[in-house]
Amino acid sequence: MDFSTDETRRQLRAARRLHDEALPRFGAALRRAFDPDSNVTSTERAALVGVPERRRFLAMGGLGVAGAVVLSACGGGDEPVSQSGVVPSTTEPPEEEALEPGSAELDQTLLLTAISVEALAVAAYATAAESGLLTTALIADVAEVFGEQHQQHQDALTTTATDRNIEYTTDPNPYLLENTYGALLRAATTEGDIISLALRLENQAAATYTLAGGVFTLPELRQAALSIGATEARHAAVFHSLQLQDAAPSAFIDTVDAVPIGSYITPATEEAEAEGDLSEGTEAADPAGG
Amino acid sequence: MSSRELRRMAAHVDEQHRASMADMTDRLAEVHFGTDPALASGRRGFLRRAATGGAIAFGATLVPVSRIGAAFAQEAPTPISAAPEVSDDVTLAVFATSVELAAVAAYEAAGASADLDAGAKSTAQLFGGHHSEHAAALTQLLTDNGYAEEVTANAALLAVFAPRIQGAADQAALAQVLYDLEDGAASTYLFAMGAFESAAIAGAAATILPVEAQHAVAWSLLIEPDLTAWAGNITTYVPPVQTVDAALTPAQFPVA
Repeated sequence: MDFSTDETRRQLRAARRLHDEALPRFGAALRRAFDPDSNVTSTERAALVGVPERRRFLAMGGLGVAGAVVLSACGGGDEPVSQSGVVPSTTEPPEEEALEPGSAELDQTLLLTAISVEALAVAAYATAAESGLLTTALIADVAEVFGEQHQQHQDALTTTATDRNIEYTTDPNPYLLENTYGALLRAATTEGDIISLALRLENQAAATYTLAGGVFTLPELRQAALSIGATEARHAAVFHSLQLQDAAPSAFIDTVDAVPIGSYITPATEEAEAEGDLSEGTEAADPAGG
Repeated sequence: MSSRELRRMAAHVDEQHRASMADMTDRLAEVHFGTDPALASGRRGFLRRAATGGAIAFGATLVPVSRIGAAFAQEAPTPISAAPEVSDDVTLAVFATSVELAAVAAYEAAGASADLDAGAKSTAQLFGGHHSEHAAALTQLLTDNGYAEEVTANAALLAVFAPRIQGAADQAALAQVLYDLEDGAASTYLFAMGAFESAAIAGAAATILPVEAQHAVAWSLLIEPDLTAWAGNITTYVPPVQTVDAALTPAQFPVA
């Protein structure tokens, strides 16, 4: 069945243009807000990205603000940090390290992991599009939009990392690629397989951002995580519906479904840098392993 | 809808809510704090600051430690600015609870509407149940932290949405009302995520927010039952990021 028409594609293009025009303004505001040299206060930062102060929220009668924020508070203070992303082993989960709660290191780990999950999603949607398995035009269009949104999420997160001098890679998460999604992509032979894979990936991403919402040290970061996580959940709802399931099967997002600890990308230590244990500059892996 | 009917509907929901609380078994703790009793107990804490008016180290035990690593269980002090900040967390949690209860009532009204077909009625029943669970979880969190006052369905919110439900001309129109309610709830939680000082309450809200967003998507598919038309508006129903644009506010909809 082919749902797609020229009119649909025209509307899709128009909608994307609107968002494409809005996002650069949003990104520019973020860069200004979190430039370490800008001397912008936290209140001013909130105002810049459209988040009202809490007391204003309690008093004001309406909110005409945009609060989708990716705040680059990672690093704790205003001093830039200089660390490099370290990609963990793909086959042996690293031992659980003693990350200090409420630490800049933990925030950075969550940020770097989120970047890698978004990169995985972008690569997975691209591979699915090239596979020829998406034979329903509507589903192909939806997958294209969702892939673009993951790219937007990744761009917002990497901009945050760049602004804070946190080194990162844009490789798809190697642990998840090796242990889950690479094999699923290789095994996919039908459009239904791709939808199931996408549903699993979106659910896992939503659960990961939900987890981050209770772990990030700063309210701004928690909000940023959920501004993205809610969209991943909407993606999952669409795929649930395409499978003729309830769009929202559970009352709560269960963080048990978040990415496993073995997939975490931790910031590099100085020792690791000295040993050359860096992965920066590597090309994105083929998620299907081809 | 008459004010008497409105009060009766809200009272019915409140009665159901009290009954459900008797069976509430820390589900929220399980989904975000794991089943470890020590961790679950960590969520009791966001009112403690108000009681002491100052620095209590509580943040570390409130994160879902079971998912990150045992090392996170150690306590680390979280800077506390002032007691009034804490009351803001409570204010927001109470407000969120009142919104959830209003949503339950709204779904009861929608479920009774002849405008919805059988499938849509089933969805309304499911989502109403979700909102009831959200309210119960939030109430449990408030109760565990010593908040003793009963929270009831937000009458001001119902006063806006009940007439819209009653006046909906057809299924698509009613779906639009429910979409607006769910999108507003998701937006409200997103605002709250940036306002909650307590990681415990933020963690709870984080498990709920994406579900409200999913509810919105479900109703969008009834607003635009033609999938081609729906796809033409996809970024309206599935925006690149959730925003706070549609947030409901305590000032607009004060808790009784």
